Amino acid sequence: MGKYILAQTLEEAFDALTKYRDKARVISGGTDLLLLIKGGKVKVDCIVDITNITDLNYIDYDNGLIRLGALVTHSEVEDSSIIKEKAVLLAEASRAVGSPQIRNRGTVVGNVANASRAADTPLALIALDAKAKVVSKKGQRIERVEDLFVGLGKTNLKNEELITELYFRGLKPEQGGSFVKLAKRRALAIAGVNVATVITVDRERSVFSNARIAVGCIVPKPQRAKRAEEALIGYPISDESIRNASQEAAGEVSPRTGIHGSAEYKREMTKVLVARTIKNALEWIKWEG
Amino acid sequence: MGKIRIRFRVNGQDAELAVDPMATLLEVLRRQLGLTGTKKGCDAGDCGACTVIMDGKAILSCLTPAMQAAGREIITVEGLSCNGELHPLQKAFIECGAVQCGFCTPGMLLSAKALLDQNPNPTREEVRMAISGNLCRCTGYKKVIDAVMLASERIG
Amino acid sequence: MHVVGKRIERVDALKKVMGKALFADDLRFEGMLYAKVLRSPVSYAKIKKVDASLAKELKGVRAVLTARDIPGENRIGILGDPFRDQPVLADEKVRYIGDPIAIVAADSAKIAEEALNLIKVEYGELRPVFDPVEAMRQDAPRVHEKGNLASLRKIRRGDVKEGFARSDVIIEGTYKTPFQEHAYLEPEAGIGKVDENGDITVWACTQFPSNVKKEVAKVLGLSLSKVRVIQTVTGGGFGGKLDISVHCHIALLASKTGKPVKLVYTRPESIMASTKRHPFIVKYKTGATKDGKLLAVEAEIIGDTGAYASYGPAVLTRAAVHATGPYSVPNVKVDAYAVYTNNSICGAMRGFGVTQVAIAHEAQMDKLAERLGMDPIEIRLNNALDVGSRTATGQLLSHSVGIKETLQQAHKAASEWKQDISRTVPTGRRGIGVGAMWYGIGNTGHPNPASVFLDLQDDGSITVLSACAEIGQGLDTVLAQIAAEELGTNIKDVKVISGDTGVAPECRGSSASGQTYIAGNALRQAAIQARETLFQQVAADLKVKPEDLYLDNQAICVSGDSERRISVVEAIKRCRSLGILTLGSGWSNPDTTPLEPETGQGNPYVTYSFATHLAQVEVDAETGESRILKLAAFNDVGKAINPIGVEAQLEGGLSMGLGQALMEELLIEKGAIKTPTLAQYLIPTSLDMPEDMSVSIVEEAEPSGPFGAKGVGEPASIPTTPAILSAIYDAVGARVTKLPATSERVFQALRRRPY
Repeated sequence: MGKYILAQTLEEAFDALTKYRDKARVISGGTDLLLLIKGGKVKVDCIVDITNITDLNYIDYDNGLIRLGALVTHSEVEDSSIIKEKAVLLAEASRAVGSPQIRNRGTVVGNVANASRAADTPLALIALDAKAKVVSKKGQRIERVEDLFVGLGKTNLKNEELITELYFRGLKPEQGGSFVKLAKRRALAIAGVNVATVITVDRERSVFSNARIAVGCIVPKPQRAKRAEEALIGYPISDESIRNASQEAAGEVSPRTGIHGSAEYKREMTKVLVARTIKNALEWIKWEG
Repeated sequence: MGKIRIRFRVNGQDAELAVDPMATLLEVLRRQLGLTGTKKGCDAGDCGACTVIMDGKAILSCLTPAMQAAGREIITVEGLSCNGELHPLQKAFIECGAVQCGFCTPGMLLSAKALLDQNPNPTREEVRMAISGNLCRCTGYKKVIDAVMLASERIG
Repeated sequence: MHVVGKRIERVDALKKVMGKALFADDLRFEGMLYAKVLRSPVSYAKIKKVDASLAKELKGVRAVLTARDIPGENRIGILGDPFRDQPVLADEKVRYIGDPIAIVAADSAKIAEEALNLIKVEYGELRPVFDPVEAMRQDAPRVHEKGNLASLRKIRRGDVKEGFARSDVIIEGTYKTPFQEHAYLEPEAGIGKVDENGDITVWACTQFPSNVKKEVAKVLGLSLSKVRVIQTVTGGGFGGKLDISVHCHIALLASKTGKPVKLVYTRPESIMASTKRHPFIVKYKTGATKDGKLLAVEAEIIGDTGAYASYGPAVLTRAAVHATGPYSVPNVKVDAYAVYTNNSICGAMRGFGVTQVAIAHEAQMDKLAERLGMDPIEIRLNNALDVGSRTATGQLLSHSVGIKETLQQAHKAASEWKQDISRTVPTGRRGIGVGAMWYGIGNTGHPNPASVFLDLQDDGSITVLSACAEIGQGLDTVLAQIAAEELGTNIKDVKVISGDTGVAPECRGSSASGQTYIAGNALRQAAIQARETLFQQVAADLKVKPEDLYLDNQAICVSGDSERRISVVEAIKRCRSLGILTLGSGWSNPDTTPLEPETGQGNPYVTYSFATHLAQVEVDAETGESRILKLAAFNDVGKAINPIGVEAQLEGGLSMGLGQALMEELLIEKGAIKTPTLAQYLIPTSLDMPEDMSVSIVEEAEPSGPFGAKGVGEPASIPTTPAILSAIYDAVGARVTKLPATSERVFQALRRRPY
């Protein structure tokens, strides 16, 4: 029978993580971890429960910077007026997760820490250029969310480390964002392809001054579609640019045929979804072209 | 033995139990508390039959460690009626023909209650969204939504 | 009528909304043990050796059983001989991944699971076959000694060669449907218990308690009188709980250990071990005149029945009989093959072969309409069966043929829908589609009787006793209504005790959409018997003829003389004073004829249900995604005993039909299921169903049915799938002939369009 630590403070959590090393796992919502344990994919001697560390439950907005604590759930993000106004794509991504019951418990940080291939919210975080505060007994490091993912289901988090916070700048007036998910049904669905995009426009010159496009699902870890971004940055805001960028995105990914679809289809859909997120993002800033 | 004592409230009553630290809330409710109204449809978070309300929110008890119930307020289907009086949702489900095989019903009722407790006058779309994590193979969902709307009218 | 035809609250709804309904896993007995099943991880192999010694020694393990421990016959099969080909515990060979080899009973499920890991099985792997077409070849590996052809059903009517020769237009098509899963919310579960006499009681979910009783008795080598089956509240069946699942295993373990034994399937185990819908390959050829009159239909149907027969031959037979669709076709040639492979076992699933052929016959009608420039509903109306038509099996339809009415109503609705041409996404295109079907009620040309007992008690209240299974479809309520109606009782005073072989004799399985019709008729007989006993005595006392009496508001009255009446309770009292009990028994079997082996000619059903469904879809032309905007069902049910129950079935049927059209496919590769969870095998959620869903009940009374009723369970879902496929084609000109029409398949079909 394993151990279950209901940590009341971060120190307690770190103590347990250090003691049990790779046999300890952190739990917040539990929607990912319990599945892994039940499926025998993970053997755990000690569960370190951080849900009582109430300091970790916050959505803060200060001077353009949005900070999410480790215990913020998808439901809270979905309903947050700050996120809906300033980081709409993250609200869209959270809303797309699983089902209401799963959103009530699953945390945005948990989604990142578990590095699930199909996860929705990490894409929005990457498009927003979010950073994670990775904390351990020894100290803290700041890591770009996109750099945390090192492979299928893997982050570069060490056993004794916890993500305590995610932060990113909210969308500015010249920025728009969108998240789109293609799945086989409209709820409780794992994506076949999902995309999150943030674009920045230079209204005077009518060009894209920046773009961050994150593609998920069909790749082992969330991936920036860098060639697609380059096909936008500095280019006019036009259907042609969007077409080129989405074409580039399709060329950048290496999907595999699986139960969610064939490689060819996923590649095509990458193109379609990248184009859609760019258009949605332009709509967000009410770009009339 | 390794079991841990936890205290929580279920259906308005205090409960104190020694639980296996690795047990799910679903197991504890069904086995230790004998509250078999909450169902195990898949044990993997895919069907919603195990839905209960914890601190006002609908959650999946099959994916919730029993330990996380400590200090919290749980409502199961058995806690919906009060002194033998059915909850308006239960009455509406019966009247609207929203019950067929009945296996998804407890979970549906609780997802619906969690919604109505937060949003007493939902639109049909909002009800549809609230039950989107509860699979039903029998009803096609229409009469379930009818029932929740009827209950919301009566409560409000 | 005071209760039949009224919107009645279900008699079992209260316990279900209170969470008090006892499903099998909710039951617990003192000293109960927990069972687990060791299942084959390989598709096809000889069993060389099974060593359970280590498992038996594990602390907490109370029994480990293999094939040699079976006291009776180690064979089950729902169709009986010659299709009783499935071992309860594999003896010589395993034939599919999931085939049970050993069962364990232990103090906890956890210990039982550990014990499974300690059982050593040596397999001699054999070359498997997974493709039914390949399996039909001479050189294919034999899944069974007798060969891989489980059955061939032939329908021959007229002369198709001549029919095609006379046809102005010929349409051909090949349609492929996948394995599908019932996905009832309740995984299989049951408890077996033995008493001091060695009598076995099985509490379990099932659609067919009487069959469970027979099989358990056979497998345990007991006489039928020593086995009782009590169906627990069953959380859905849809055909998947007709076969034996946990029942023989728990009976064996209970018998061996002397303790109650519970077995509960995990969801992946349920998906792996229970039967599936037969995947079909349908090659279809239609010949018609230039005016759209059908002259000939030729179809070849290949159904993969998997490792064991289950209902295979019956499914292919029903498919063959219904292959023409609800249309009059003078020349018909159908060959329907049920083929063994080493895939999962295929058996009954809502629609039972008609679901699959309907996809074919409706696509063919659409293609024909398009080719001839005719309206798709008009062309169906011109060919629709009617009273006086002969079917492909030569049966003369003499009554209750509602297909035209359903088509006409659909036509009217469709024209109203056509006025709406908006779209929700810029790349969306809208379309409307129609699907029609017919479905024979009860087993195809094969006996399937139901029996019911009825007791009219001293106080006028009634108890109905039967072994028929309420599986969520609403049977208990329908039976209560029929009893209440026949005896003029308040429905609140009718108690139905069902699903228990200990209180009533044999009852057919809840299948073939036949319980309202068959069990309903049996119940009517029983009720009438009780009523006649009552009337005999009252007539004698009042010195009138029994025919002059009638029931009115809990009283027995004399025709034309309203002063003379006696309350039902008084009348019963009078009977009792003479030692007369007012009870009844009834049993009913539809009067059908078996099909001729070479031509399929015969009268396989007494009555058919008919339906037309309509769908409006918006297809996203860029992604191939379909959003269903509107669904409408028009079903001829003969008579809706409980209209709200019929609506409920129809709405549920629409959701299953939608799921099958867009997202349901059980992927099996080299015999291994790739979609063993409900996250991978997808059924519709509330967000997948349209808000605009309407159902319309058509009542073409069936004279031989209780109050004119026929059936609705399967007719509720069969026409929806073709309607949606038809709508997708109407929207974007993409015809998907390999199901389901996932966004990718629609996308691929879009690309293949000539324009």
